[in-house]
Amino acid sequence: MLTAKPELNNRGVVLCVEQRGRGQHVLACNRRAERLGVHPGMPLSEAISSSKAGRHTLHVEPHDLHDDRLALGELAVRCEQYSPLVGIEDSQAPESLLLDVTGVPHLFRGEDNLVHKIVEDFLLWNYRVRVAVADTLGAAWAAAHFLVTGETPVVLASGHTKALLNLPLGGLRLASVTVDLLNQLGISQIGQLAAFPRSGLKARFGPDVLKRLDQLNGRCDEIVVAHRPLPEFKQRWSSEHATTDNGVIERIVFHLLQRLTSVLQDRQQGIVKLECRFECEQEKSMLLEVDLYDATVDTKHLFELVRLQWERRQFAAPVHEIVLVAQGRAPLSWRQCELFADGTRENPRQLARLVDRFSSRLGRDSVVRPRLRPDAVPERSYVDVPLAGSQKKNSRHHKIRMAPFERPLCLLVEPAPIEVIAGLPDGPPAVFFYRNHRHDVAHHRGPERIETAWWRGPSIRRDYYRVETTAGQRFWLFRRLQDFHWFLHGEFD
Amino acid sequence: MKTAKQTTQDDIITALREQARRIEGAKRPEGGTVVSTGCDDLDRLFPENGIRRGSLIEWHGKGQGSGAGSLALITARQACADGGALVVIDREGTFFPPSALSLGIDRERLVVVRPANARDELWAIDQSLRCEAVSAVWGYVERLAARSFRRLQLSAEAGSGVGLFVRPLAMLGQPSWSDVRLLVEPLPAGGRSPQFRVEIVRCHIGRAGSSAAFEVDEAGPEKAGAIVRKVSHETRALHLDSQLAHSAGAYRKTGTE
Repeated sequence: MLTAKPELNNRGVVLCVEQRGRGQHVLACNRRAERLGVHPGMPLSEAISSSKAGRHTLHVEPHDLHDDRLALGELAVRCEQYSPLVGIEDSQAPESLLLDVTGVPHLFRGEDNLVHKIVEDFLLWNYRVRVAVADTLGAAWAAAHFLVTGETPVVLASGHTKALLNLPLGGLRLASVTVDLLNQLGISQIGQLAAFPRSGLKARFGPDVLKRLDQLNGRCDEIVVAHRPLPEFKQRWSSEHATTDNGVIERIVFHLLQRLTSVLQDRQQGIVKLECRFECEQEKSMLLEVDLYDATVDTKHLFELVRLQWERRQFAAPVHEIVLVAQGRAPLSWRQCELFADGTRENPRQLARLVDRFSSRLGRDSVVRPRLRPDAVPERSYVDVPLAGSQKKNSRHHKIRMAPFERPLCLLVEPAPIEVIAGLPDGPPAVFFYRNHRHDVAHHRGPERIETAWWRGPSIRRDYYRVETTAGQRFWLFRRLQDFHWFLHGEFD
Repeated sequence: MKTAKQTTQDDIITALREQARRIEGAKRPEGGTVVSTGCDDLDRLFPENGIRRGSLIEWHGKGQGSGAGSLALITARQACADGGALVVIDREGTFFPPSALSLGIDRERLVVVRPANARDELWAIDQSLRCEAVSAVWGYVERLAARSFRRLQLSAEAGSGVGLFVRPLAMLGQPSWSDVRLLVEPLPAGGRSPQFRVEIVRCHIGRAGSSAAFEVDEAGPEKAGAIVRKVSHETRALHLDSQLAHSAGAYRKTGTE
């Protein structure tokens, strides 16, 4: 693990200054400043006066978090030569780079060679660096900050975390408030803290203390979040001569798709979401998005889906650039073909293609599979899950606990107000009028009261009746309990 | 000439009907698979003792809340027993999935499509019927031009799925390319399980006009595949699977959250 401290200029004397409540303080300084007696943490005025005593003028630079982060990002990119996964530590003012070197050291003939190469390279780039390698991110961080002296890197052997127990609490990456509090209580070393019972620690100092301890010991996983996202799968065509010829554009899109799918196929990946951008001259670009039910690299199929959307639009101006990006990718699943193709019905690929075509032409939200929810209010008793492009296909579904014909098959989008004549005040309906027809109620079941809880916004309070008319037709009516108006909500069609 | 005179009128009609069937459906397989509706008595109403795959069936409900849609959906469930998907075309947005699932529809094989206009609706039905992975297409279809209807019929033959269209009574007079047109008339059941009279209004082969009354068993029989319950001399039960059997009183909920 390594810590980098970017410096703006190696030759001049540079100071970074941090604003604090009690005036300006030195945050960092270079070696020449150190030789003048300046050290991090001292007040700025004191640093300036000490430099004047040595007949030197200090160059003072305000500390800029944003620039710091940018410089660290650049270093992270440079460090990709040592590890496939380089991240920046997750904090407000990050100053450490995290490298996952699992399976890497043998490429550099051992961990020692690797860390020495890193230190040498950083010196070439005019940076001082503190490097430590350990089993966990937490241990490496602590070692880099408190075990490394000068520029000699530290490599902690596997399972060798005892050396860390004597380190100060700062090695735990805790909030300074917590560290101060622990110091007041006489706890100054990691080992002291680790000796306490866990339950008490959590109750007194919050869950963060335990988390950091576990991350140090490796009892709890910590992942390196890559600084740069994975490479984009993108194909681009551009030309000085813009075109509106559909035939030409079709051929270009097909060609780009072929290149895109062949790149993905090499990585055993398929497209789940495809983005197609047509840049037009002096006009807004046109964007087509294709969501798929299943990952695919079938160029013809993808091309058909793009064309389904494209058919309905027209280019406002000549197209001079086309960009295809595989926004969503998933591993390809290989299915063995059946030699005696008997069950074409259960062919998931056929259905996937149908769903893709639907989603492409009708829109993703128009091709759905319902998921039931445990809610008595009919409008909220299910949600539509789009079939294309949804990551969680097996989301939680509540089993149906309803008898057949308990609810109508045809539920009106908006309950229709109806006029009802009831035999008794507040009683069940006897006659109602719906779509200019008079319906005499022969039988009814109910009332079934459905209410929403008060914490769910505008409350719904209804008394539902399942009614059968003298003609045998069945309807679902309700009386709104707030104002006793009647509505027809569904037909048992 | 003498023999021609001897042939009865019925024989001529049968021969002509067979000829017409061959002309209309050249691609139609001779002995295509027939699916049962789940009730023997309902099957018997159909000319081929069930629903032939690759055909379109129209269900005309007499008035609102007639139960035609539910009967068609139960039939769709039977057609999907071969592992294929069920596509529900819901342009109006009135299809209520919990009710369909309570009728025994498998959620994992259900695809609900909500086209925005009539053109997209027709396209969606056509695509679904053409897809071999789809066993049944169910939907409320109001207006359908004769030419589009013919196209759908050819698609159904190509994909060998079953198209079940629930249509209003007013559309009964319109030209149709469906194999069978049924009229579903609700019967007063006295507050018990829903009862219907199903009448074959028109069919390609066989004779129209036959009808029978049925009852859909709400509670479900004790055992799966049990003999259908005979309610009266003309009412027969079209039962649902035993997995649906729930006691009628256990499900009443009051505003649970």
